[in-house]
Amino acid sequence: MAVICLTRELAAKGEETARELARLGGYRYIERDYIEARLAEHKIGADILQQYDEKRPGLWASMSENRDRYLHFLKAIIYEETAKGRCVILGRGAWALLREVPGVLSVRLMAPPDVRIDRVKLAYACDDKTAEYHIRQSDNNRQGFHRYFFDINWRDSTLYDMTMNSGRIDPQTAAYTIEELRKVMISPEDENAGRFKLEELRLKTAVAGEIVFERRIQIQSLAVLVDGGRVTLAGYTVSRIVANAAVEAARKVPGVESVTDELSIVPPVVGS
Amino acid sequence: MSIICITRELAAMGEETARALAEKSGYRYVEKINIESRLAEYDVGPQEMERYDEKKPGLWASLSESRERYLHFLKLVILEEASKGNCIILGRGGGTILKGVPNVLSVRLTSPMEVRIARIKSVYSCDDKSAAQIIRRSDSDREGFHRVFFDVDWKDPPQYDLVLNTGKISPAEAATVIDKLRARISTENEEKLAQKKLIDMTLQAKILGEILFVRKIPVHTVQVSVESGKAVLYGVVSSHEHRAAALSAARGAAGDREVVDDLRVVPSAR
Repeated sequence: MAVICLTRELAAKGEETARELARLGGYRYIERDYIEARLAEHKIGADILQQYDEKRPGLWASMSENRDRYLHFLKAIIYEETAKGRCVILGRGAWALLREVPGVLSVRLMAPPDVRIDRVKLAYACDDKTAEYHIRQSDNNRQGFHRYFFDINWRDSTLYDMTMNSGRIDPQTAAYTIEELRKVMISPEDENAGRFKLEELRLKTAVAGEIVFERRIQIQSLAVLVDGGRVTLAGYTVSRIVANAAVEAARKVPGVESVTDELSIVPPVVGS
Repeated sequence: MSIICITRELAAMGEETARALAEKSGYRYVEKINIESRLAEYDVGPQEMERYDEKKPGLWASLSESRERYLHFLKLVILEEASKGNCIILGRGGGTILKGVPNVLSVRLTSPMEVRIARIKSVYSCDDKSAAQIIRRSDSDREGFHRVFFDVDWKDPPQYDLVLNTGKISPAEAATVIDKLRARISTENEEKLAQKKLIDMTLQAKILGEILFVRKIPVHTVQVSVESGKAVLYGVVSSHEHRAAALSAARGAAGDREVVDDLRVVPSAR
C-alpha cells in the first residue's frame, strides 16, 4: 500500500520529483487535476477551489460552510485514493491528513532562496523582484493553508521523515533516495496496518459526510468513532427523531456493520 | 572519494548514525577524540576544546585571540582529515568548513522534541523538566557555535543536502539512505575536483596559520588565495619587515609550492 506524500515549496522541483518517483517505483501519481476533477463530482468547483486549494482562506471563505465541505471531500478523496495502494501525492495537505497512518512516507522538498529565484525568473520570464514576490505569495499561502486547516508549521523538519534540498539534489536522485528510504522504512506489516487504518478513516469520513453534507442532519460536536466496521456516534442533538435519523444514515454507508448510538439529547431551552 | 558531514541535535542519534554509516560505507569516522588529538598537535589543548568545542563562546571569549586560534586550527584539522579521503565527520561545523568542496554530502539529523526528551530522560535518569533544560542548553550552544564561528543559522535547511528525522528513522535506516545517496552522487570527475580543492584549501589554511598563529606576525589584513597549488599572498601590510616576515612564513608553510607576492606596503596602515 506504500503511499508517498511530497510536500514542496514553489520552485523546489516538486512536480518533476513526483513524476520521477512514480516512474521509478511504479507508483500512481495522484496529481492536482485528478483531485480537482474528483472534487468537482461533489460540486466543489473552480470558484471554491480558488479560495481553499493550498491557501489560507480569506475572512468570508473561512466562515462559510464551503470550507467544511472542501476539507471533508478533500479528506474523503485522499483516503479513497491512497487506500487503492502504491501512490505518490503532491501537496494538498495529504501528509497532514495521513499522519497517523502506518506505511506512509512523508518527504518535503525545498531549495535555497537564490536557486528558487532563478527558477521562477526562468519559468515566468520575470525579474528578481517579481520572482521574489511570487515566492513570498506562494510560501504565505501554503504556510497559511497548513496552519489554518491542520494547525501545523509547514516548514517544521520534525513533521516529515526527510527533507531534501533540490538545489543540490536533482529530481532523479531525489526520487531514487526517496525510494530507498521507503524500502528501509516501510515493511509489509506497516502496509497492512496502513490499509486497515485507511479503511477506518474512509468509513469515518463517509459516515460524517452522509450525516452532515448529504442529509444535513444537525448534530452538534459530531464525533464518529470507528473500530473495524463498528461505528459509534457521539454528539448532541435536539431530539430523539434527529438522533435516529443520524443512526439510520450511518447504517446505510457501505462498510458499516453496526452503529452504536451515544448521542445526547439536549432539548432547546424555551425562555427563562 | 567522498566526505559525509553530519550535523545533529543532542539526542538525535548522531553518533549512532555516524557509526552505522562507517560500518556500511567502510569510511573512517572522524569523531571528537580524533579532532581533539589533532588539535593538540597544533597546541590547541583540552582547555580550549572544553571552552569552544561546539559551544557558544562566552562574551569575553568571543573577543579573544584564543578563539580565533581555535577556529583556525579546527578548520585546518578538518581540511587535513578530509584530504586523507573517504570519511565521516560528526559536528564541529564540518559541513560549513567544507562548503564548496565537491563530493561532500551534508546531512542534518533532527528529532521531535518529545522524542528527544524521552531519550535524555532515559540516559540521565531525570525528569521532563531537567531533560528539556539539558536539550535547550545544548541547542543554544550549538546554535551559538555555528553563528559565532561560521555565521550560519544551524537549523536552516538550505545549507544541507538532506535532513533526516531520526524520531521516525532508525540510525541503521538513516545510514543506509545516506550511504546510497553518497554512492549515487559520487563521480570520478567530482572526486578529482574535490581532491584538488581540498589541497588548495588546506594549503591556504596552513599558510595563514603559520603567519598569524605560529609566527604571530601582526598582519591581520593579509589574505591568501590558492588555486591549483599556487598560493598568492595579497593585501596590505604596514612595513617591509612585516612583508618579508609574512612571505617567509608563507614559503615555509608551502614547502616546494609556489608563493606569489602580491602584498602592498602602506606604512600608515595597521
